[in-house]
Amino acid sequence: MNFFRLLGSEFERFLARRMARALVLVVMGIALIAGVAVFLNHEAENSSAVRPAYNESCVDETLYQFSQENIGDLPPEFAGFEDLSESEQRDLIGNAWCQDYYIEDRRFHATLLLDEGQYTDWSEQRPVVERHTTGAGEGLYWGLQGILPTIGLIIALLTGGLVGASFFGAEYRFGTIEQVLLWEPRRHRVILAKYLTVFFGSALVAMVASLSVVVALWPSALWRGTTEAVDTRFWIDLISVTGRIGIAAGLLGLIAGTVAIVTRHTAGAVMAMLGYNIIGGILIDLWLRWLRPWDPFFNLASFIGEGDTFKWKDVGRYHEQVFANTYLAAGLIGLVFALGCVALGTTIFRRRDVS
Amino acid sequence: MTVVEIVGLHKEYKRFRHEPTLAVDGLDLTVGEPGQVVGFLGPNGSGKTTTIRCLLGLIRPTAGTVRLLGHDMPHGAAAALDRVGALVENPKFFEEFTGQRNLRLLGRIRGIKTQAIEDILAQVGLADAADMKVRKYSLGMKQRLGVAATLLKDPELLVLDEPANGLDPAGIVEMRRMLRDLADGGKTVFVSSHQLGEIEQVCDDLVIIDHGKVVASGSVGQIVDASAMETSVITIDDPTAAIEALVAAGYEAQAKAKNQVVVEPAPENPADLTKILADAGLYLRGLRSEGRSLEEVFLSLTEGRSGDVPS
Repeated sequence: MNFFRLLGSEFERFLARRMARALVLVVMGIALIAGVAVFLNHEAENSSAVRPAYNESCVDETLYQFSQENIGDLPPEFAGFEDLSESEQRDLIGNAWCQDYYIEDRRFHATLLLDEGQYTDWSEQRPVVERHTTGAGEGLYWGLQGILPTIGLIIALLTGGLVGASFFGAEYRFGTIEQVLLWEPRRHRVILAKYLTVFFGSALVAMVASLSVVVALWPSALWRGTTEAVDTRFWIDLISVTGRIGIAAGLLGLIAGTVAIVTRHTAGAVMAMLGYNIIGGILIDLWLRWLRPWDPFFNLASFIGEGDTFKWKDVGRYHEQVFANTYLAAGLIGLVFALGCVALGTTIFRRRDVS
Repeated sequence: MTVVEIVGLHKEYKRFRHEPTLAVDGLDLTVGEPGQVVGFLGPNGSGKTTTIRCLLGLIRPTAGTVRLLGHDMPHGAAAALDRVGALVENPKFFEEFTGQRNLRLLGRIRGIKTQAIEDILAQVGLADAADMKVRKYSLGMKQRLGVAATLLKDPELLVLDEPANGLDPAGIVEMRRMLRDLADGGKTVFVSSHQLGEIEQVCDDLVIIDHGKVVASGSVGQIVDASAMETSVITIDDPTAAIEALVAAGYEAQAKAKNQVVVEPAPENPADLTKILADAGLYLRGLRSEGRSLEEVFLSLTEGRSGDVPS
């Protein structure tokens, strides 16, 4: 019996599942709403284009105040102001008081997808961040802080967690696992095919969901913003962030799938994942700080954003965040954790009665 | 080669914070001849489904050995189940997939062609419903789909747990005919059912279990004959007085219908009854002998537990 036939059958089940399709549709829907909101809340004109109008307005306002009030002591460069022609007065006011007028950039920058600063230099000459220093606080590299890396873990948790849990949970809920084992009783093959399906399936769904966010926001960059600084390096980073979201979703799918095998229940697995994410996070920050560098969700978030992970260091009466791992090491920790879950799930699946 | 050989099967379910439950208690069972329909009967909770699951390698026995088509289970499951089609309890399919798609997912594991799937669906009468979602199927249609899944592998042995469940009378007759045809074609059919009448009509051999043990096995005739105790049914004007007289004479007598008394077992000579009653001044209106049906034998063997007996 061909293992790839079994794998193909599992993939067909996966792709036909409503959960996977519904999740993609939900993320697409949210992305579309966000895209429309972003589009409506941004303006096409950049700050330099609107500056003359702002300057005119500033000069008009200043001249009006001069005409209404006692001017009082003026700076030295305003000596003989009243003797100047109107255009000379306007130039003088404009240059002295209106040049520093801050004008908010209301454009949507495509680079926001990957990093938070509107003025981030995405050119090939963008500053290289000094990474992996072991000093406290400022030595840490926090990674990409844009829209996609920030929501990456949520997408990965949603897709990997829900899809992985429901894929295994449904087999127990409908009892179809029994049917499969009557056709392929070699349980190690069945579980391997299922885990592979969950990994690649979750990754695929997560990447489609992530790209739908990019697609939904791109019109805002084109028509209500700018795509400046979108260069080869931007695209490479976008692809690698999307890929890492996919990998994280796959690993979370393996973890969620294992919880579903243990609990034999989709909702049980989802609750366990969410419970860990919320309660576990609080417990770690309050009492189990030494666990922070080993928290799989924390590591996967760093892996997606390309940032360092940190650990807490006692400094007198307080704690400092110091470098723990690079994003690649963080990804490796996530992988080891997921493989540990796979080993546990496989052992339970092979030994447990199906009834 | 023995088709099924179970020796000393024990299965105990352990549950957290609960006493262990003994589902099967030293069960021995042999199905030797291929091409037979073997009925597997027992009340609810008697251990039928647990035995079938052990037989198919879905659960591990606590003790005992199970051999299926010459292979030790569950270790030889891969080789044995290649030649077995099984339906355990209710058919289990994805409700949101069509019947055909469910079969295709299973068939794909073994590279079974779409045409073969369509043929099987036609064989079980589901050709017109092939593209309907399983959640829209009636219980009987799901049952047929379950049987179709078992036939897809063209197995030597079919293990069917309640295959007639939910079928209408015509469907039951059709199912019975199909099981007989399969056996006549050389396949062995191991079928558990609560339809005792149907089992009686289609099975060559029967195995009756209760409390996890075999209480009777053999052909339908052998089981009924071995357990057969004829009864005498008396029609009389004063059944209460008749019962008193018969019990005083050492017979087991009970009221049956109006003016009827049943005596079990029947005396070798019915004239003994007429004499006892006449001596008590009671005169018969009628006396007849009755044999026992499979249902009555089943009830007596399983202490009247009605789980699998139709009401």
